[in-house]
Amino acid sequence: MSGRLAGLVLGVGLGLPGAVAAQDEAPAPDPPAEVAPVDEGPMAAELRRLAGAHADVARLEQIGVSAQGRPLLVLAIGAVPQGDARPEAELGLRPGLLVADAYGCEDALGAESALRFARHVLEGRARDAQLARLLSTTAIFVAPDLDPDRRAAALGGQDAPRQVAFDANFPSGWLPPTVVAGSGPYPLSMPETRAIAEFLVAHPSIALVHTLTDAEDVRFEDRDELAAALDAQALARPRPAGGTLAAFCALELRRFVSERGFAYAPDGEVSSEPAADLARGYVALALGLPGLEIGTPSAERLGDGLVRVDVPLSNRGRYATAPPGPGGGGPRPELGVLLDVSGLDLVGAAIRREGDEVYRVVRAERGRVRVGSLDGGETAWLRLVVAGAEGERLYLLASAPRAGRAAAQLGLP
Amino acid sequence: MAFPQLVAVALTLAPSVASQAAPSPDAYTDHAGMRMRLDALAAANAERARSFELGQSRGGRAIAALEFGAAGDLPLAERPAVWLVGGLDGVSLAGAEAVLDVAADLLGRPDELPAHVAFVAVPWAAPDGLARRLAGTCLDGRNELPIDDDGDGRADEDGPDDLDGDGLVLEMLLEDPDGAWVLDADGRFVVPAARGDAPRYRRVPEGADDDGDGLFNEDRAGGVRLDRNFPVGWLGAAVGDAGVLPLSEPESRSLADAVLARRTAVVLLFQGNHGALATPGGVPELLTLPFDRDRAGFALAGRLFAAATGRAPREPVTIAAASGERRPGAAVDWMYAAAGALALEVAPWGTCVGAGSEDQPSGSVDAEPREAGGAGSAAWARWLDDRRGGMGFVAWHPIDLGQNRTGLVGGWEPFTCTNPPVELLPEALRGLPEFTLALARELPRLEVEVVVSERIDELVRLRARVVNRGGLRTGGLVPADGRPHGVELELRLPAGAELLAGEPTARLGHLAAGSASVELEWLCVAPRDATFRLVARDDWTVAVTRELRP
Repeated sequence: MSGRLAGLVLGVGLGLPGAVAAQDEAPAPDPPAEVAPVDEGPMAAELRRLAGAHADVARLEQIGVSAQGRPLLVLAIGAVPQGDARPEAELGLRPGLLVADAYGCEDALGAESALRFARHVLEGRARDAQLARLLSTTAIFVAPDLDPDRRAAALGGQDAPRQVAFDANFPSGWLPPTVVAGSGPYPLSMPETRAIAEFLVAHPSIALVHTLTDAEDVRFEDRDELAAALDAQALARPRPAGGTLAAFCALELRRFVSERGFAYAPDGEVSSEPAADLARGYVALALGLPGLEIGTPSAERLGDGLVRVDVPLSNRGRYATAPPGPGGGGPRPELGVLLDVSGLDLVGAAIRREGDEVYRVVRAERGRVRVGSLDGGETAWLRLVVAGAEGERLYLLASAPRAGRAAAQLGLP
Repeated sequence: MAFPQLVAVALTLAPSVASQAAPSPDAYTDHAGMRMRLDALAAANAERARSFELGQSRGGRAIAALEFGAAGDLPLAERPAVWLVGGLDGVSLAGAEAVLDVAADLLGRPDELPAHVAFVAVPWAAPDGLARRLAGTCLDGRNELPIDDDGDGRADEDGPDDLDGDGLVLEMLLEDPDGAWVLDADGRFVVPAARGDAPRYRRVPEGADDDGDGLFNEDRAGGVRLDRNFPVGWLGAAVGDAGVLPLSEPESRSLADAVLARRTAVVLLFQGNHGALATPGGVPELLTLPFDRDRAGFALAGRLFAAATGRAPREPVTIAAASGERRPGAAVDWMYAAAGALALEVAPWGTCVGAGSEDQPSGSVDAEPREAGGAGSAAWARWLDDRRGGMGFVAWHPIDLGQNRTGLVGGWEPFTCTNPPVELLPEALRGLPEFTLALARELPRLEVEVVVSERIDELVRLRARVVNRGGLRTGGLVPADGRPHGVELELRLPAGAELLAGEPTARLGHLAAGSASVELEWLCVAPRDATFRLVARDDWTVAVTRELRP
């Protein structure tokens, strides 16, 4: 998602067709945090159970209501410090992964794998330090049932053809219903698609979206390859089919995207992969999320009043801090890393990227340095020139919309 | 924000007489005047017309509308609708005038209005853009949604200025080795640069670097260009003026919702300066429009347009071909391919307006830039020289931009290329009411033909078909998934009757002009003297009922 898009949303709302009242009308109240419908089904019940059993790190958000009145639920998972008054705000600053079912059909494997993923991280965190760290540094969102009406109809054995299909109703590459069956009169015409679109726009920190779709399966001989394959798919910046949730996320919102669509064939026969294998694959995705880290700064006084500060800035994840465009397009500048310098006057700044032999001067405006995107695992070295007296403190805050934040400080020599 | 000090040192070489010759824009109807005219039309035609509002623009201006039609029992809201949409591009004031003129003209001859058709006129579909175009404060048609175009945390802080103090905000050329444009041979018009061309320029609106970032007019006032905010081929939020999402703007959304809410048969978008009638097809690399099934209908529209306006007969071309540029997110494509209407762009203005027949090229439309000065401006150059004596174009002249930078300011004056000089406005509007009326009369008309109606005691055998007596095909979408669509034929049984065979209701697909459907057959038992009813209906027609007593 572009910074422009985020700014607009803050300022004026999405303005989606049918979603927003006329300008002169009072905005609709936010939906209640939890609503228990009569027929929400076993999927919602399991989400509620997980949220209740792990209330210290999991919260259930209702992001909307389906056309037939079923709740659209997202399970948000992430450990926040004790006593944090706004855990959702804290999670909103961390790099995030969303696992979302865009298929919503009788094939329960995708949804089941999403639930198993949630259970795996929630129940395994006590004995797995890697999972515990994951929950303290990232935000995980699980939405196993974004089209509950279709699932309910399918599970109930009802033949309920619908004129609009969930995964054809998103804006990027959308084509009219005369060309693509079920695309709807306009993108996001369904309350279900509109709800997840609004959720994603409101959560710019979600760096990676894994959608469970009916994308064509790819064979893998070895089930151990699955996690690596999901990871590789996300890194490859695929160009999903137009009108899908994956296309919207990749092309418009500029998130990393992977799609379910893998089947391994241990016995030579292609079969649906077990949900547990997929769940492990999602963990691998989450572990690769971009994340900023600032190393220990060093300082050296240049003369009267000026101090040179060198500080390494790293991306600990496997994915870049700003997703490149599909097909090799460059990342959007507004998604790059910013380094805000406060406490002292920033006089000049330079950066040395991996492979550079010298520092290159970069523009520093009002205490802010635009670093650009950091590739997965990349470290850049920043050289700052600040004005300050001995003992004064310098505060550094690195941030990127998809890669979270990192802070450091030091006292001047 | 202007920089008066720059004006004082400007190296102004341009002839100033050109601006003095610019026609007053006062003759164009402003927003308040437009609303007064609609209200007056509604008041004077209370039995046939009603004014209302579709919604409000980002800038808080009302999107005023007028629905009208022949007097009759069927409410206007239930009739097939012909939409007349003016100036959705935010710049075509002539389009707005055209819609007002068509509405007034048709209401002036109520006996000629086709029965059972509703007209919905929206003269100022982009009120913010049109108002600012009329005032000369913003020329690109955007609405008033503040946008931080340059990502500096501020919105709309670096817009155009009248640098040379001539009362006009025109265009500016900035020399740039990587620029995409050069001046053509006669030094007036800007054309794409070819290999080896120099000097090269970047094109920006006339104005200073108000925010001091080294860029000129990169964060203009507003907003979204509404005719880029529709879903087909929508470019994405990164483009800026296409909107944060398709139909994200209250103007586009309210129009789309209203079109979907009615039985919309025809949408005529009055805008553009190509002078022609143009079909859907703004992004040919994405979607080939129009569909083959509608070529006959569009060809008929083209003939009616030529006959009514006196412009050269041409096979209608796509909006991309007519305007000489891709048109992603254009309303006409969505109205056609998603809302199922016969949608057309009607350009009141163009070089062909007022030209003798010998001056009108036949065949395809000239590819004219929407804002003249780009590729394909030869026709506009001829128009300027041959019919305006060169008046209406401010020659490029240097301007000091400070910090040792200069630019060239010049270009088309207002009310020349994008909209006609006011004295040519009547000519630009000529024939448009007649065209609208003629097209509405060609909407499909259904007739139920009974092929067999026989009775043996209480056993009744019926066979019937539906014929389209109109000049256009029957309406509505043809869904991609092959679901039944098109004309519906329903057999309504009399009391005491029982259907033994045959579908009580069937979809017959679309019927081309003058064509008949397949025949349907029923077997029933029914009391003697019982009356059967066959009801045919379609999205673009009112239902017709045929009674029979076999």
